[in-house]
Amino acid sequence: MSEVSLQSAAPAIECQELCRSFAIGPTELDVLCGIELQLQPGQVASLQGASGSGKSTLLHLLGLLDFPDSGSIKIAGKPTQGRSQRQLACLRAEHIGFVFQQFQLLPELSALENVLIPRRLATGLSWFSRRNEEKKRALEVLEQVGLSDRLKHRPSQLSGGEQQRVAVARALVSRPSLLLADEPTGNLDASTGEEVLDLLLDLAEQNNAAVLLATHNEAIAQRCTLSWLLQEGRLQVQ
Amino acid sequence: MSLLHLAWKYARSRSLLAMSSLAIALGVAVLFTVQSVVNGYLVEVERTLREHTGDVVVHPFPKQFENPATLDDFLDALRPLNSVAQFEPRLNWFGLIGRSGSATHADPRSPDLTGMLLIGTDDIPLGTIRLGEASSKRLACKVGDRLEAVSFRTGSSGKPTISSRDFQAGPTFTTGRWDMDMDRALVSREDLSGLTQHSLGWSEILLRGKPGVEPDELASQALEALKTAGLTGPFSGQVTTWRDAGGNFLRAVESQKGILQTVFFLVVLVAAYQLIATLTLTVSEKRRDIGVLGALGATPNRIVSFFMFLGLLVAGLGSLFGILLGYWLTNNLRTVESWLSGGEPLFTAEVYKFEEIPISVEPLSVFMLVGATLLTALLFSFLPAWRAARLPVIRAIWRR
Repeated sequence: MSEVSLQSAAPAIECQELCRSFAIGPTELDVLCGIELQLQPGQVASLQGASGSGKSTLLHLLGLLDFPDSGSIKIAGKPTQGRSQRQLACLRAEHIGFVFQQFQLLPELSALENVLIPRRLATGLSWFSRRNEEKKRALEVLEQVGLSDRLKHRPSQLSGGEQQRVAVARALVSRPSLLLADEPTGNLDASTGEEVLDLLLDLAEQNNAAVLLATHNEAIAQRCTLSWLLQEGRLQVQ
Repeated sequence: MSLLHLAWKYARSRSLLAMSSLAIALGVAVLFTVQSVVNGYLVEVERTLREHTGDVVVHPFPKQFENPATLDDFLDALRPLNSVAQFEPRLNWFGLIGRSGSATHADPRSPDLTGMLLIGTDDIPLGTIRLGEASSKRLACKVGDRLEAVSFRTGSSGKPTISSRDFQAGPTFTTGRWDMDMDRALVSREDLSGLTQHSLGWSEILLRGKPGVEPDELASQALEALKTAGLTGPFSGQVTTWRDAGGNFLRAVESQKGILQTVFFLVVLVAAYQLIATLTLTVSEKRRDIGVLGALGATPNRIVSFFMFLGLLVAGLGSLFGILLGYWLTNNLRTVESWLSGGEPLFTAEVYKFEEIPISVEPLSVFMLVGATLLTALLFSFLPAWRAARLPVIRAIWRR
């Protein structure tokens, strides 16, 4: 087991003794075992490992989309154990941004609407009184990712790179303290992937967000301040 | 951008949701039409009943046949009532009407004869009889024709004897109700009194209230006035309202209205029930979107409210179109009737009582119809909404 520990009062994310296993038929498969990590705001870490090593599972646990069998997770210093689904959803809306390999944009909505969705979810009914402010923020982020001329385009009318840039804007519109990216360039060609990654890292830095990037790409891993490897359910510093 | 907006986009892009909306619209339109027609029927029945019976009817009591108080005694007792706009004494009696010279005495079963309620009023000139438009047509009677009324009178021996009298046909009248136009004839009260040798010369006094006066209030005032004058009898039906006069019929129509509303609301219910299937399918198709919303921070309650709003939106649009369609149907019933029956009238006056189909749109009924539809849609949307909210995010996004 490897322990990554950085000294800070309020880490963007911190987990201890995280374990997760899945039942496959009669056998129990331990995917993650005793994971301990900590990321401070502004830190960028890569997470590497072979296919099936548990990278996505770890991201799901850290993103509060799945529950560990044991261990604890703190988001921005807030413990997540014992929280209800509603409370976890609120934590996600407030503190966590996701970038998926498959972009996962809502096909019925325009680029601007896709970016506005997390704000709407985070602010609930008060969104109506703050909609101008929220829209301004969404436009600002879309401009930062270079899509101010594609606001009304639907995902199907955008290229893969543009879709991923919308996804990056959506992930960062709420100024999350933690950005979880699962193979964000996995569906893009090399140069587009490079552009998207540059954007993602720049914007995360501007927002002082901690970034955890799951990737197979060694070049991407080298651009991160921290590089972790998942092997046989355990996390190792590279 | 809001979840409502997303629901609207879903509703627009899924033809199944549009079909659900259409099904609800058809159900609402049919119920709206049925409600409007039955309400219109009730309103017209009320109007014609009130026209015929006034607001309140005062009857003499049986003892008066032996030792009668006069009509003037009754009118004197009732006149001080400020709430009465008009008093109308009448004498009602049954008789047979036929063309003069049609041997009515010789054969009372002659097809030339028509049984009618003879209504004696003070507005008809002596020697004149006014038939309803429908019965006048049936008898092929024109103004100025001679008609004979046959009735009976009770002689001093107590045995009834046949009596008859000739009348000249005056202008016809129409009440708007086919049955009333068929079975009523208006004559002078004096003529009818002479024909029947009626001991009182009147059988009822119609009271028409001033605007805003409730019939029940007027009836209790009239009864009080009769009591004070010592003109009340031992039975309770001496003063009745128009509602009492049409009591059973009105109750039957209202009960029919309730049954029709229940039956046709089942149509709306079935259409709304379809929402469960449609929304369940939408939840299944949109699993990934639901997962993405969850990952982005949508709480289970918000997912529930999103799908319930979607159901409400579908039902709301359906209700709106249904009301508009129903409004169009009610205003074009004759055209629709013609389409349905290939030109033959479905609503004949003989059955329906009215020559025209009366329509009355009651805002409260419409409001309740829309409210009940939306409430049903909300209830039926809950199950798929709840299932959507329970979808684990990871399974929803990655179908694991």
